[in-house]
Amino acid sequence: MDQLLQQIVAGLEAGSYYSLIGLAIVVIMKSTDVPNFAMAEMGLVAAYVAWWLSDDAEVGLPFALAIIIGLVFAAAFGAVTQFLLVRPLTGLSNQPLAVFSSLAFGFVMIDQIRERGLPAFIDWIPGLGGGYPTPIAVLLSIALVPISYFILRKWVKKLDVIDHFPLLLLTIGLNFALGSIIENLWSSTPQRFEAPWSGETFNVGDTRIGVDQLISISMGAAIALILAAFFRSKWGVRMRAIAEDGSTARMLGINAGAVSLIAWALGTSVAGAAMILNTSSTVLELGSAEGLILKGFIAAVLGGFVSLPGTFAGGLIVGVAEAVVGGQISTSLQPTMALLIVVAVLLISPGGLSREAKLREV
Amino acid sequence: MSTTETSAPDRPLYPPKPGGWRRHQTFISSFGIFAVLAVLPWFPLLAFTGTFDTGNDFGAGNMAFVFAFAAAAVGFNLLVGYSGTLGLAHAGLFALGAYGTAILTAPAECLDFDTCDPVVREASSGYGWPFFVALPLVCVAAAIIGIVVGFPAARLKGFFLAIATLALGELIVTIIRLDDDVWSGLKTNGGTGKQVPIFRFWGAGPVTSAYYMALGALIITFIGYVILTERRLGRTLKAVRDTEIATGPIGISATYYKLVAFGLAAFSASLAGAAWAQNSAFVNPASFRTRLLVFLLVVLIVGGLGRLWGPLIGAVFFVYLRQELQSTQKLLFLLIGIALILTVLILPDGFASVPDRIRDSRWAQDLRKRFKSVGVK
Repeated sequence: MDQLLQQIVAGLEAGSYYSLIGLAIVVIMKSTDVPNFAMAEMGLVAAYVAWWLSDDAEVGLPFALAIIIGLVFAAAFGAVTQFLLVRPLTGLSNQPLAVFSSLAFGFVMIDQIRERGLPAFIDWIPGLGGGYPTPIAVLLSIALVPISYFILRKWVKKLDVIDHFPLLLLTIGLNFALGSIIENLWSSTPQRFEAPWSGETFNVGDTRIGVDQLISISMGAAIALILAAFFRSKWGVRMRAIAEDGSTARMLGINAGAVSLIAWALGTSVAGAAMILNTSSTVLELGSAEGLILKGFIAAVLGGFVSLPGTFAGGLIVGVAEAVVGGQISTSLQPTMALLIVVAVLLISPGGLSREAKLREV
Repeated sequence: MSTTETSAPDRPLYPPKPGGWRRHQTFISSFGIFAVLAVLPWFPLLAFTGTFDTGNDFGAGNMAFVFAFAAAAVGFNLLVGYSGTLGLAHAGLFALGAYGTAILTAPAECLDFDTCDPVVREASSGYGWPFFVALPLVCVAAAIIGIVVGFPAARLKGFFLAIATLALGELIVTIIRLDDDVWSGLKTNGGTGKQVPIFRFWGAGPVTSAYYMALGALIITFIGYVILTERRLGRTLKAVRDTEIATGPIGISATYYKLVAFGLAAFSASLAGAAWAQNSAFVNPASFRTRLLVFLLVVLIVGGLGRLWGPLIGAVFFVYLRQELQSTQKLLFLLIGIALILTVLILPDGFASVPDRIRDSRWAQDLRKRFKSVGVK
């Protein structure tokens, strides 16, 4: 019995991470219709930034300040991602993407040309092999910038119909690129990202409960409530209007670009909060995001990709089911539970657990 | 001709069938492919001179990976590109082929039982079937499982179907992994992996044999793809993809054809998985998780969705990139991610669509018009 309580608490803790990732996915899905597979990885970037700021060996800011900066960074990061990558595909301008990526491309090529010369497939031409002096490398790179700018401006076309599949692929690509960037910046060794309350426990009866578990669960519930309140505010109503009928909402004067930007900032900071809570109670490593993203999607499926309460409850159900089955029956059955739940829900009631979801075409 | 007059006076409803050799263009180009593939088997013979087969070059081993990935992507292409059904259980079905052949063909016991290490015995014991009995059975069984995995397609569409099949594919891998902890009927040796007995063609080396095996898998899937998509099945699948709402009233069950596509895709995935396992000689459940699915998606998308040559181009691209960046795994994933993003943004139909895009570009059209006005054909 005591064990059961402990397992339920552990399940609620894991479930609140799933819920938060699921909520982040739903916020973005609701307002821009992008299934964001990179959600957990984007949150992990924010968690790494917060760790880098708070760790004594690195920058050494106080924990609370580091977390606030990490969340602000997450919001900015989400907004930048929307501005550069998602805008062109959802029918807005591709100018920012073209400007930014051609500048970045030119910057990367300076080093490449200086160190290794021209790309391997043409350096067999006599005189083209080997490295170049810096001024020539800079000139060659500057010459490459307008070329890549025009290619991107001309060839990145908006999609006629906003289809989920290319957007899903785009975010899968983003997921891989971000994981690799994290690995390059901060090596792949697991780090300890300790909150001040890590390791402290208290007893309820015979059950030992960690303070971090309690904080994770309560923060998860608080963030879910804040999100629910947000969707009743002015910007939240605009988001729902865009999701319901994009073109009509835009005709009525709602700025779709701004709404999408805010949704991405909000979603990424929620994901950042989830990953900070998760990594500060376990360890900070590259694999943290990989396990959470699928569970986050499962939570979102349980909410039908529209309902915030459904998503929140779905994440908790998955977490508790996993922990209880793992504790009471067999630990090796634990990974199958979430998968069985999602298949069963999709087959029995494809719209998820809530009634709101029935409006959407499944 | 009467249909063209009734429906649209100045433009026919369908493009007219081209005359001359262009009429058989697909068959001619696929004969070209088979000719290339028929020359390629002589490639490993160079291994005797020590040029290839070093394992570090873009040699026979990597060519076998190219063929295996391409064979899996051909079936994936039929499912995702041709029938427009987002079935993402491909990595699990790939694992079924790899594990199925590994378990069925492994010898039942160690020959020298006393000296046999118990750990090694677990990793290499099986049922001792002949390879070419086990392979078709595994593929047919995987096709049936693939049809079962496809059942959600009857109720779900698009993105929701993708998540359901993704979960089912993951479930297959989880069951393989589960085996050693809960029961041990499957002999998968749980999470630690399984050694694959390599089938040798008349005393050829392991790499060469795996090369032929993968080439055979690719040829079979390619021939199957060309034959099936050129016939009624291909046209029906296209109809199901483009106008699903109209197929019901004319007596075509969309669900039935989607399940057929699922079965064929699963068949090719398990065939490719078997060939892949022959080449890598060791299978581990960790290598068949979502990451493999993403690799297959990269092969498919970068190559070209719904295009004949797409999977082969994508597989060459992917294996080349993986080989070039073998020492720096960090950069590999960065480049794969960037390649996927750029493909979605710039070339939504993949590399295989580049000739079409050049042909349809305004520049080429102007050029053609100018040639016509001059009188050059």
